[in-house]
Amino acid sequence: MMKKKWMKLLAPLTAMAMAGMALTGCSGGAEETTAAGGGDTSAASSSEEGEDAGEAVTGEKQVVKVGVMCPMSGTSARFGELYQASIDAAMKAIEEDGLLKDYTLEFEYVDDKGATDGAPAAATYVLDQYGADIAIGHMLTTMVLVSGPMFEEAQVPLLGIVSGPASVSQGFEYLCIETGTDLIQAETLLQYLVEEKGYERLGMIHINTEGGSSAADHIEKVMKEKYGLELVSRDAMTTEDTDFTAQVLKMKDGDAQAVIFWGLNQSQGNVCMKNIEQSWGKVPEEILFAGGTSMAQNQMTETWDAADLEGVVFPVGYIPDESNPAIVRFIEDFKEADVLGQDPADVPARVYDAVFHLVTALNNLGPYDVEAEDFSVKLNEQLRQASFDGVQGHFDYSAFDNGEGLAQMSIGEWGPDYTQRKVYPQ
Amino acid sequence: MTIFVQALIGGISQGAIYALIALGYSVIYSTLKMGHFAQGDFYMLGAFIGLTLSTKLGLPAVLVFVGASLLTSLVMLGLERIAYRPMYNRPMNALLIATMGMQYVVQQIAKLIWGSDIKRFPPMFDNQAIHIPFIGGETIAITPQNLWVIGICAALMVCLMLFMKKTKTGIAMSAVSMNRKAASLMGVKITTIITATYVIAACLAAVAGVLMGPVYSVSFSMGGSMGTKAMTAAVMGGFGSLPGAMLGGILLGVAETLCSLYVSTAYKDVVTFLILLAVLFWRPQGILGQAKITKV
Repeated sequence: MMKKKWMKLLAPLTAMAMAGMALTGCSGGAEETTAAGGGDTSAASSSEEGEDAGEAVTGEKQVVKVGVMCPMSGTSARFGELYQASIDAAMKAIEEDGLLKDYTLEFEYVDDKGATDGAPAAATYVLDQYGADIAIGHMLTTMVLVSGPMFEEAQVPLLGIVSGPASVSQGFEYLCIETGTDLIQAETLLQYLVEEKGYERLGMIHINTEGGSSAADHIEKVMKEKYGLELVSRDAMTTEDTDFTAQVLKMKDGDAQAVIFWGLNQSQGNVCMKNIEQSWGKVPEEILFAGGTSMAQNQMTETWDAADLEGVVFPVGYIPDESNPAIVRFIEDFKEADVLGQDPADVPARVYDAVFHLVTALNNLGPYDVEAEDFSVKLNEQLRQASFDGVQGHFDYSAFDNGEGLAQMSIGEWGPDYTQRKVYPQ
Repeated sequence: MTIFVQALIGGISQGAIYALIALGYSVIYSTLKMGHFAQGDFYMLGAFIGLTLSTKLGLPAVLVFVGASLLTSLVMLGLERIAYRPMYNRPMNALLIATMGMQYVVQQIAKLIWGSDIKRFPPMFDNQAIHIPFIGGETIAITPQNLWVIGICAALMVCLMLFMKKTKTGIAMSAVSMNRKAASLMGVKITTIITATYVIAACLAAVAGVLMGPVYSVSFSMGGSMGTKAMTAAVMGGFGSLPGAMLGGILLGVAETLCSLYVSTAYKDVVTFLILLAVLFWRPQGILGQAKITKV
């Protein structure tokens, strides 16, 4: 009898507890992101202080709210640190050179978990609760595809740190991407292989995702239409493939001079390269091994021997260049700002250029009331027309109508002891 | 012809890895009459343990294999005690679901200990190809890695067959697979047999992981797809049949490679599953499996 009474009480008590936890979880999440954002506006704080020192009347400069959506937890949390270091480095250069004339930037960092399902919550917070005038962020194209419509509806610009061509083919009017797309990477790679190196027989293995297949289609199309050439062989692979003997033998049979390996998984590239050396010839002396931008990443040093990596070429936006003072400054400022003191790579460079893109657009806009309803609209117009020199190269958004700005990338090559150097254009 | 033979060698080498993991599936099924969905993830765990023994302790190859096998077996036994043993007297579905859940548990354990980044496993065997003269002045390239993989897999299969047929424990395992109650009444300790079964399956998976680790690097997600392919091989060869598992693995590896060479890599999974369907249509029990005889 007593047990029955307890059981009757248990159900409503459980329901109340669950409702309470759900409500706590909602407000707790917002608090976490606020705490993350509130404590991390060092770029804005130092920006304000710097400008205060230079300007007698701080009230003349209006605050532009920038929502930064990046992973701050989980396995991709390191990228959040890279975002922050890049923004700090950019703001340091902007303050030192007095580049931002009429505005002050305030950054609010929001955890998007580095995964597609984290994008909507981050975007909602940035747009509705923080009230951002502009946002920077997302690591994955799929995340941009999810949050892009939200920024379109709010008419708030989003500067995407992604390279997937799908992001710029949706017709988003309020999206700009801060690097070249995979298609630009592929074209730059072909320019290097065909025009610079004089290769005519190329073989290709590509990942069978939408991005990999569209890049492969584009490579075939450019080879045919621009150079009058055809691929010796073209094969798709999955992320689970562990042997490339068949693909390598086809390319060997076709007497290919270079192999384009367009994949996501760096260790697969290593397996393919080893299959080439076992069944075919020496890399890079006899067969050049070229990859997509995944070959530029620091993860390569974890999965390839330094000796295997020597001579591998890849398209990339950012590459260290001691002859470029802007890049040297970027490296120094980034290392100083980074918690681990590491050298910057591709993703930090994109974030760094995103800040300069924003500053260029604000300077072109001139003094404008940030509280005005159409401030974001006006800012977006300037973003889509901006032209500036970033650490990845020259950006000209007016040359495109889809949010792209970088028309030419670089070709890098791995050297001894995991060093990289630029080989094209010289 | 040269290209065909070269591809065949690559396919056999790849298939040998599938066969090792498929043998684990078959051993567990033949004795305990249950599928073990987490077998691929023990392959991954073996690779990680082997990586740690090789890089952190600097052990020679033989000790890496032995150590990885032992430690993977211990983990398998521990998880069996916690997750599988309570399910033995319950409907078979409960046990199957437990093995499916174990996949994620093992993955998360690996992620917690070793992190989510891909880790490079230094080569244990020489990668310099041996070029053997062939027809028409051409050469066939075989690597010591290929030879070791094929050799170790063949040796393990022979040892396993001898163990099952000639040793008391092996014969007892066969008895348990035929009739557990009767075997128990005849004095066979069922818990010992279950332990032996899991240890054998874990050792096979760990050896496969240590063999593949230096080829493909090691990550916590490497077990999922390999487990699926190995299960396909086991079903193709005859679930529960040890020679069948070996044959199914080799056939799968060769089919994948030849399809990639002569058709397209995009369709290799389609072709291999078509072959599986054809085999099951022709022989539902698998190529070397035994048909169930139902008395009426």
